[in-house]
Amino acid sequence: MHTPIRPSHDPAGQDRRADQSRRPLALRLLLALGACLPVLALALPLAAAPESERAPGRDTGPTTAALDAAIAAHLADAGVTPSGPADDLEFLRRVRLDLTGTVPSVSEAETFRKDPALDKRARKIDELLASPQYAEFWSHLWYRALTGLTPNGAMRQGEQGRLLRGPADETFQAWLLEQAGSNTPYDRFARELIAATGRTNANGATGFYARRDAKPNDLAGAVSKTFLGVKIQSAQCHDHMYEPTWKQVDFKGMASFFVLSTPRPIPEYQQAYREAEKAREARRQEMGEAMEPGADGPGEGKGAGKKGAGKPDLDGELRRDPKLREAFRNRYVMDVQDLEPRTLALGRGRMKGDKVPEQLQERAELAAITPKAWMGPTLSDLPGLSRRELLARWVTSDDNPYFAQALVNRYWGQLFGRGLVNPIDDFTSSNAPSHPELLALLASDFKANGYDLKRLLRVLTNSAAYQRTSRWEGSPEPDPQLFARASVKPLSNEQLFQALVRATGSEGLLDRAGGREARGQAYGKGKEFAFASFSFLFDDDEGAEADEFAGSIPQGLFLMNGRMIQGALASLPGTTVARVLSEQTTDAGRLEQLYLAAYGRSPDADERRTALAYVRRGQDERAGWQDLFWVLLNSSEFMSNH
Amino acid sequence: MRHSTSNHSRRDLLRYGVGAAAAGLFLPAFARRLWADEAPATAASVPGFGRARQVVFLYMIGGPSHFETFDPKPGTSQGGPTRTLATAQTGVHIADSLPGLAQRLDKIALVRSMTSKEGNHDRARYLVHTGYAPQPTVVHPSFGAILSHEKGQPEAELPEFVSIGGPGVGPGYLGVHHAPFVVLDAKQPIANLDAPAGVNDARRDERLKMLEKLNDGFARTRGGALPEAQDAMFDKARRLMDSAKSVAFDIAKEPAGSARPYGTTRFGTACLQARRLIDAGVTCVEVMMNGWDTHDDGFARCKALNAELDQGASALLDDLAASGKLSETLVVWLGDFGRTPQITPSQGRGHHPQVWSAWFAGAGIQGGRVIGASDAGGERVKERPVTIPDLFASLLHATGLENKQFSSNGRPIMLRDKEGKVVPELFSA
Repeated sequence: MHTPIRPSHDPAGQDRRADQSRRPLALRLLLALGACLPVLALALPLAAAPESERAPGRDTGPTTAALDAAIAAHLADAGVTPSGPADDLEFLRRVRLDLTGTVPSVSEAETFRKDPALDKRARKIDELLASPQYAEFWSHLWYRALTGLTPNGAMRQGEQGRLLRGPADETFQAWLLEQAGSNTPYDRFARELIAATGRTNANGATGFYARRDAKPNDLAGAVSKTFLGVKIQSAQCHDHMYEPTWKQVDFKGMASFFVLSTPRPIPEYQQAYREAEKAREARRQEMGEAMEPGADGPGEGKGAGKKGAGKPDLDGELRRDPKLREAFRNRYVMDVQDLEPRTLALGRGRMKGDKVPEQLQERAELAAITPKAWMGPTLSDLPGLSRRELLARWVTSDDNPYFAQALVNRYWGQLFGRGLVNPIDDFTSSNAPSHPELLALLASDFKANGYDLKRLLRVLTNSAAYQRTSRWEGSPEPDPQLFARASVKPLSNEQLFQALVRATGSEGLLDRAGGREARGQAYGKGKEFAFASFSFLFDDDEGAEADEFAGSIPQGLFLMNGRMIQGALASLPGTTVARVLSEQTTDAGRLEQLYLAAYGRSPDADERRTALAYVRRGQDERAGWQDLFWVLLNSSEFMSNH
Repeated sequence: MRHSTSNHSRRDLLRYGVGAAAAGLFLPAFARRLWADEAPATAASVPGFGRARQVVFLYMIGGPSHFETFDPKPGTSQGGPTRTLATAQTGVHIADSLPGLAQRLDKIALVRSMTSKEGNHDRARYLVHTGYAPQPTVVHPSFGAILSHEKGQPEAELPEFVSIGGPGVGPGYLGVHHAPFVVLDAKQPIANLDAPAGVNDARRDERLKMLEKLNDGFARTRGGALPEAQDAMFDKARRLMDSAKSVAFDIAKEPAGSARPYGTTRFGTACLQARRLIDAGVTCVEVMMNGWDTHDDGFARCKALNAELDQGASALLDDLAASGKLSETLVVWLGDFGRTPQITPSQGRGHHPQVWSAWFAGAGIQGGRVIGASDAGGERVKERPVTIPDLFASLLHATGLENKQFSSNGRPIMLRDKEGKVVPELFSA
């Protein structure tokens, strides 16, 4: 077994941390407090109260206080005074975007501003965490973290790998949504993802496995990156260059957990598919035309541009037959099962096109290696447990120190713009956490409270560190790793889309464009389609880690000239511009409403003057208001969470 | 300059271009070059270094059968019914449904010993475009994105990397500035290129000026990184809108006489658009042609596909040669992988990465040459294997780029796999 790779053993990390003995008293007290936190939490009578009676923020109060003390200690060490608290509306926009992926509506902002209650921020946090938009948004974040892809980015079909197409992908997304909504404890969530078995169209947890096309090396890399916060893939082909303890043999030990799992085709689906292919072929002969080539069948939705002028639309015709359509869609549905250790019936259930000999060879080689958890013990096969179950147990066990830390750091990074270990999945000896005691404290609190993800979000969002203003004036900005002000985060493509829809009031437009009203879902059909083409433009290829905005030409053209924004500006019924111009008759009223819609705040006196001069610069006043709203929507203040 | 120093806005920096400072400013920090790798040892010893200023990729989605295109095996049980044709290279035969390219084989270096290990479309496409097999922890840039990053001009009016006919493969860690500008169909106008009705240039520029004012205010208290990136984005988009060169995208502007040789197919019109874009100075154009995944009915389908390919690619080579552009433009033809020697009951072939064909023409390339060979059954490499890392070494060599170390999320990563070796036979002395 390796010595765990911890920053405390690392000389390079030493200079980044204050020597223990020189730490201020506050910090030392805090460390002591952190150690007894679990006990404190249990002792608090309110901790166990039912959700409805619980006073917002009370059960998490001590942890939040400890968090703030840790941040304050480092700031004091560095001699930096943090920025002041954000005002109510700055807080509201930030927490709305972070927890639900969109901006507050005008009326929500107005109501929140007027609310005199002292605990309104804690209440708002609870309200958002209980909303369906929270589940939707965070299930999408998890989809990204687990697959590296944007959910519903329909223009990129096929990229998710062969096994995660169509029904499997839908089932996976539905499963994630359910877990986020019911706040499944994170250890259970991870166990189910790592060891999932069953049909990919029945057990959504198989999606993580299916995304990697059942490849042991890729799964080893993905599990380590997602659940342990380390990118070990670089040790796949040779010992790691900069991490002396990362050996290729350990990578293989990790990969061998997955070598006994196989996706098997499901006979009745394969039969239906063969029949459907025959029916298609027969129909093709009947039509007597040289088919446009395409091997995936009509279920894959890539008909666009394939229909030659005047040619019969065979694929379209087949897509309208529900039975055929299902047969093609179910073609890649698999039954994921684990073989008994040491019964290496390898090669069963393989598919057409696989390179059997080489793959088999690789698998046999891996199977011969004793499974060994990354940075953990060698695990012996146990009767009745699959190797993936073995791994899942170790990854999520309380003995594994990395599991909780990696998650806490991921959530910190999501809310604060950078991890305590940054980048969030780079826990290495040369990349020490900036606040090691805080990381440990949050991780142990998370463990002690049953891996409760919503609770963790409450701890973080109720903190003073989270609720500071992002404005920094005067002196040069301090090291962002001190968290002296709230971060400025570019909106993700999903946040930007949702924010544009809400700010412009285009929800109704998009639903009408989709030909039907939203059926109680966050995404109506029209909106889903609009998002698919939007994400095609705005996807960044970088998975969930993108923390910098860099716009492309098509994005710029879309924002300047695209129909989505033009439609929303064109005074169509229901849109923000139309509503504001008809309801508000004074300049002040109109400015107030447009600023609230776009920025979630009121303009100050300077901004009012500048904006009004701009609106009135030409003959056409309506055009002037449209121009102003266009400018607001395309500004950095709109396009970031700050 | 119109402004005093203190009034220099970010936009002015962009507009007037402050050389290296401005260029560095807009690179994502994680993509900034750390240091150059070892000296380019092959640059001096192998000819052709840096001869290619522009590149056209003709990419066959689905994996074209080498048996039915450039490496036919007539008279063998694996060869199928495909007949062959003599070419401009003595003794070299290719499929008879490629008569145009057969005539032009004296300009082409044909590699019949490409070999790789990815038999899955998505993974193979990633490999062939980026030089690396997919890994869960890093997204590599496609070669077009590398060219955009290495050769792109901050002042360019047109995108540096255009992908026609498919979504292309992205910029990975180089960032979205180097993403392919995607044209799904050459016959359709560019999306959102025209200003909406009622928004003339003056109104648009007033909007952008007001936007800059608001962003300056934001930058004062919240930092300038986001406003700078946004200004750069709008500036590039506006330059494209205003550029007379954007007419290069519009194939309807091509005189009927010179458009005719390309035909009216999707691939043909895409080749025409590619030629117009190369003429206009675009650094890398990729034309993607769909339909080569011929599991069924492969012989008839390849014939039809070949007709389209032959017409478009021949016209492209002719035009580039006639204008002189070919001497500084590298043209590369390849696909996901080859296809199996075994013929399926439905008269098609499966995926076969073990051996396949690719060809090269133009800048620095020694035409009229066959490099490597498959075995008699078209199943394995018989001589001179060329791997994907070799391909990337050769592409970097041809375009005059050294291998370098980049950093993705703090991890070091080489632009191309160091294992690759330049294929010297490709290049003319």
